[in-house]
Amino acid sequence: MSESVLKVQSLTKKIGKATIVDNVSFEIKSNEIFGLLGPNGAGKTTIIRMITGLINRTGGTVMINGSDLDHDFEGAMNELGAIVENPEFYKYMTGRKNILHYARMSSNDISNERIEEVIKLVKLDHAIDKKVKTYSLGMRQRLGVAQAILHKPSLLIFDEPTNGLDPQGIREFRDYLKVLASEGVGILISSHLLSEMQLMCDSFAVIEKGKLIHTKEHIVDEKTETINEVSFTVSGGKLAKKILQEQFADITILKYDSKTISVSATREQTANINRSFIENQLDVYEIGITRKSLEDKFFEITEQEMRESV
Amino acid sequence: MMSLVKNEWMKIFSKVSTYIFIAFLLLAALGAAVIDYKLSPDETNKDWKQELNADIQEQEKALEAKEISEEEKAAIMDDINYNKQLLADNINPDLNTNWTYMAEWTTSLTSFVTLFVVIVCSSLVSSEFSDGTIKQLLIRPYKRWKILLSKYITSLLFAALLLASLLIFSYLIGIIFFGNGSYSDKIMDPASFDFSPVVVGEYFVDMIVYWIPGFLVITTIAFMLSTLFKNQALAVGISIFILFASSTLNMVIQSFIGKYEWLKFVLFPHLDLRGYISGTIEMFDGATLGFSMGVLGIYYLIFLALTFFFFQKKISLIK
Repeated sequence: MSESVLKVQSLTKKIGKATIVDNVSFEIKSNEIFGLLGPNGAGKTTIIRMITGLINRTGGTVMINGSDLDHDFEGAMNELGAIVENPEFYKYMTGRKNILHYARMSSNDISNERIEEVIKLVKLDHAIDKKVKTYSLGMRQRLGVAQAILHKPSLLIFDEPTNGLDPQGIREFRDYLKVLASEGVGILISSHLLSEMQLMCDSFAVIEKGKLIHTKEHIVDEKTETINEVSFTVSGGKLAKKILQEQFADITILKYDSKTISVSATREQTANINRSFIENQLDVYEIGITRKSLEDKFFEITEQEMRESV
Repeated sequence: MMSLVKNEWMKIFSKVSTYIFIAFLLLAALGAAVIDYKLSPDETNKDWKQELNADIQEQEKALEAKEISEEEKAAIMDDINYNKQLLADNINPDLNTNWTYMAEWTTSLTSFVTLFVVIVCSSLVSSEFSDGTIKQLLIRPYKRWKILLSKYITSLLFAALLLASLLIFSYLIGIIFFGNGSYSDKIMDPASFDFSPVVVGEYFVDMIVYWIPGFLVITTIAFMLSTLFKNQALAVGISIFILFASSTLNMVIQSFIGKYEWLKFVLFPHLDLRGYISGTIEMFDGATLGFSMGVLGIYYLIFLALTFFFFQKKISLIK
């Protein structure tokens, strides 16, 4: 059983009459990479600032690894590692001194071996004794990861972590996340880059206008009745079309030619179609499933929300 | 708390400017010694009593000259009295030791210490905001007031370090240039109009000790301004402006203090307590060391309270 490393309940932020964040609740377990999605200005950063204690909450509670932010601020903060927005460092100091600076601020004793280990992990060993002002953005991001994981926190928060990173940097970052999550850390990432998030996150929440409008849907969830685009490569396209029209009248045929036929079908329906094809002496060489991208899902959700609100 | 102070200390000493400031203090002490050395007689004058007597005789002759104005007469009379007093108190006016050098020069070089401490302290908090590092600093397992307090402690330690550097540099340079003189040699009190002898070492120590409270308050003002402004340059600029304007403001305030009683409670006349050392000059009616210390103390507490208040306000406005 994985335990909850972050529990946010009824998080609310009001500035004057405007409600920036409205009654948001979610939970992140260890080993989980959780994406906070939403368009710019939806309130993602405000939520993250409230969780990290950088701004006051109007209402709601934040528990980090079982410590309440209000009652045990220091305990909660020691379980947190984060890069809030851009990874900013003391540019006039070396990377090593920056790391030492944050190591000293932990409640845990951080050994020199641990510092070396983290520097190696983020592949900065060649540049760690250079001043941070000579670092590229990618290197600063890696230094950011180093200072965040130094004290082995149970929760990591990265706000728009891939901003300004090149594709290689993004890929490296993704790999770190997977490794960290496999070691038992819970990770919260905010982003407006949906395709990025799809590759990184196990589950996600969609924020719009300060409200949580969708949560905890696993991006790859085999049990749900999600309709996928399924394409069958068969020995005869015409026969396949005939079988579908006769036996599966409710299934939409997206396209077909002599060798392939594409339909919209659920997981269950895909199995049934396959059985029918075989029973009708049709050879099935390949079944391909094009899963709905997070982007499609995101627009589906936000558009639905918009229709409802009209 | 120790580790927080260590961090701040590391940040200050990772900047090149810090080393430049310390090097400047060394050079300033050295430069002052060179000037003092050039100005002073080549060797310690053993016949200073005879010379003084000769001077007095010459001056008395000059008094008898006919074409002399009343003003000149008064000036010459002052000189005669001064020289007679030197003889009476057995004070060698040409005395030049490390102590006379420090009494004359180091007591002025302290303004550089103030200037550098103001520059460093007024950027201690504001630079965290302008560099964007404040967010990374605040998401640590430390209460905010502890982080601020560690910075304040660091600024006091840094102020102490710069003052100690100046004193040590001056003492050593003084010994090299002028030899190790006696602490208890007598000189005429430079701050006094009636000619009263003082022990040079005691005078020097007093000049430093009476300077420290004002220095502490100015350091605290600079630190307060660093929490008030997000922009580092603005914080440093305003601190230095206040530093330089304070002596001018002081003069203005002193000239109106008879008219307006409440001006007594304005900070500026109390920032430099060195006027109380000889006790001969009264800054204004009813000015006593105790009163000035009281006013300084109250301002100090207000500034500290404001600093912690501003910091709380400031971090709630993080963008």
